Amino acid sequence: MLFNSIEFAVFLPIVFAGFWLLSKSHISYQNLLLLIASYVFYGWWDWRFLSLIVFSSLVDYSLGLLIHREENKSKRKLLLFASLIVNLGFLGFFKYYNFFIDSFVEAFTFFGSEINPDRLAIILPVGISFYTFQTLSYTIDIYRRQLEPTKDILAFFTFVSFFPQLVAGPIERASHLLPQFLTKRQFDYQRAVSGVQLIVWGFFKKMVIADNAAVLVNGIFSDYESQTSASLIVGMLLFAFQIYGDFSGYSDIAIGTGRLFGFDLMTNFRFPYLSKGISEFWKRWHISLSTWFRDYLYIPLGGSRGSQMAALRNIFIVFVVSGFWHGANWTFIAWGFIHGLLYIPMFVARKPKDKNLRTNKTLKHLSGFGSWIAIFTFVCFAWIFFRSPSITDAWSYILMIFDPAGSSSYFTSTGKLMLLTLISFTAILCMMAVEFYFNKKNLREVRIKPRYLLIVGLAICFLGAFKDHATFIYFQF
Amino acid sequence: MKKFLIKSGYYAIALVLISNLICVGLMWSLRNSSFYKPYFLTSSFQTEQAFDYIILGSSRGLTTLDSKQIDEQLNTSGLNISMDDTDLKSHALMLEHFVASGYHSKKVVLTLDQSNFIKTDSTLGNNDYRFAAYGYRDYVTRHYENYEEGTVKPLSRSGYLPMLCYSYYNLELIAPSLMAIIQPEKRNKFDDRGNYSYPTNKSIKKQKKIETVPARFINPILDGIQSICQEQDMELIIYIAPYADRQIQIDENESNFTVINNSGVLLNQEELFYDVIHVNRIGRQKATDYFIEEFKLQ
Repeated sequence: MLFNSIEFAVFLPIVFAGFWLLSKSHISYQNLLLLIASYVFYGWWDWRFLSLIVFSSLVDYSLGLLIHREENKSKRKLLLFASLIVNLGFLGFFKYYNFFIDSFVEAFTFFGSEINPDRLAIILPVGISFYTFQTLSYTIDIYRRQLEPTKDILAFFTFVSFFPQLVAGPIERASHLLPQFLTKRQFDYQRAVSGVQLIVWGFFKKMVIADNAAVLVNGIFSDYESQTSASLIVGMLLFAFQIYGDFSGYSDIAIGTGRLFGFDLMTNFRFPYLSKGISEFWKRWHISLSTWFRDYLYIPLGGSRGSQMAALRNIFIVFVVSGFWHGANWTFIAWGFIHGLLYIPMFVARKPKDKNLRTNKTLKHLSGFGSWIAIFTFVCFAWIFFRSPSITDAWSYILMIFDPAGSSSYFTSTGKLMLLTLISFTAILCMMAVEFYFNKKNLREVRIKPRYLLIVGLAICFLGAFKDHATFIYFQF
Repeated sequence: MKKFLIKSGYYAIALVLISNLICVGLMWSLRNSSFYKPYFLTSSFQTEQAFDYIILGSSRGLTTLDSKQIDEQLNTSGLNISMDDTDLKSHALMLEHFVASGYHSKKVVLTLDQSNFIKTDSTLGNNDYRFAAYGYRDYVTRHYENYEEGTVKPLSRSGYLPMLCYSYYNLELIAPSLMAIIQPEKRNKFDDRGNYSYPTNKSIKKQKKIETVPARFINPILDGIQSICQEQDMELIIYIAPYADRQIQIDENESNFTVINNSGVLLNQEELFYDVIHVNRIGRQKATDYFIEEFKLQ
């Protein structure tokens, strides 16, 4: 079920009403309702894959208890490996099987041999990367003795499948979300209002920015060879905002929906396009994933504790794995690799802040603006790899920005597309202005004041892409 | 909780009311403009005005026959109410709209495309949203209800919830509605008698093979159009516009309609075509000449 669908518009009020009607009953009733609702939400797409979630939940629930009970270190490790194998096994099979097969075939062909292995017609279960990482955090934390396992099977199953964040995050930690399924929930007016504010803002980003931009981006990227430089730059810029609007919009709707039910989900995006450094960008973009990699990959690898070379290697591994997490294609790996490449020199050259250092204010602002431009430009270029079907296409796209081969300009080819471009860029400017304002106020999220909610609502009604609405990009991951 | 529900309801109702109010205003401005054909008809001509003929059809009707040229040569008063990217069911809707808006014509020239001889696609036409500002009229509602798919059906509800169709067809309706406020006389690619022509700067390749297509008119929508014409005392003439790559062959004995078949009159004159089914400006002039020759005999 999509957030931007009629089904969800009917589903949410029903579940909301049922949930709070049960607020005076035992907490299990509310959890049961959420579990059923979550399975309906997920099963709406393909009910067969519910078995995967159920199986994954069952395995991690049991292994969590066993790991906790077990005192023998090697047995505990063995149980953890079992959890890793089951979870990453599913992920590897559904997401990466065909990629590895194809890559092996290409490698063998390159060396002169020919093999014809069977490719499987595998459907990628929606959100598998998200809930797999969420359940993994549970068993790993128990293994590290950082978390007590729960005996409440219903609460655990609901934690794994909680519908607002099931298919595209934020990837929650068991230590943060699971306790919320075990404590009594009281309706909090302020929390619910902030939830609605986030939902409305999320829909604005998704429907007005991402979905409108998607039409132009698809047109430009599918025929990039015949586009002018300006058109290719527009395509690149719009994709940067399409993916941001799409993914952060989803996160906002998810967090907002969670708040309607009294749950607090972690912030996933904190105005990333206002970053003035690549490390800052990664502290603001897909926070739930980058902190997951930090806690469960970078630190176990040694983090920055060893030599500088070891730290650099660890950073590089994290970026490449992060790219690979996004999808079974070399383009995602290249995207992670490129971010790693830029991160490393910044990491090497990093200096502790000298608070006593006095610099000219104007100079500071200018340098900040320069850094922002540089980082934003770099991030936009890296997105070309993310969006292109192959590395060759991405590279050609970049080269053609500087040396265009075509004379078409997709975004100005018809009046309708020109209007769409105008709407997209106006909406982007508005969003950036709003984000700049809230960032200046040191807030973690946009909170549209009630009197402005109507204006945003009207903008969604009149400018949202209802006819050409697209599924959320991150569903494929 | 109560406060939250009341406030949410208040905002939701306010949103629905304000957006619908805006849409009612936008629809009013669109209805009073000449931007799309249905509004051009009603805002540019007096009610109960009688025409000698009207031209109905898709882009082939719009770009093949020039009503100004016909009127000059035959001293008549005609109007081209063809709309691009439409099919027979939309032509029937346009005819209903013409009649319901209080107009009359002695003759109705229906430009029939080969794709509509036997049957018509049962999904809503791409440009049927252009009637949305008349969504409150029963024939428009009926048309939308018959052909619109999906759960929301924004056009079917445009009569009482115009916000839905403005949300769904925002790119197609909002800009024209706003433009209609500033420039109500602006027309969307057609002249003051409803004609449009393709430019001559593009031509097609020499056609290697000319196909002869035997035709029978058994599309049930044609009978509907025929009965509207009979009720209104209008004579229906089916016109087959020129093609560059085919010739339509009609068995006169099998057709109950008066037909002007000019499908093959411009064969082997590729320079007169914009693409294989549309003539260019010069082609239109020639095609209209051919049409006039047969039309004046009717």
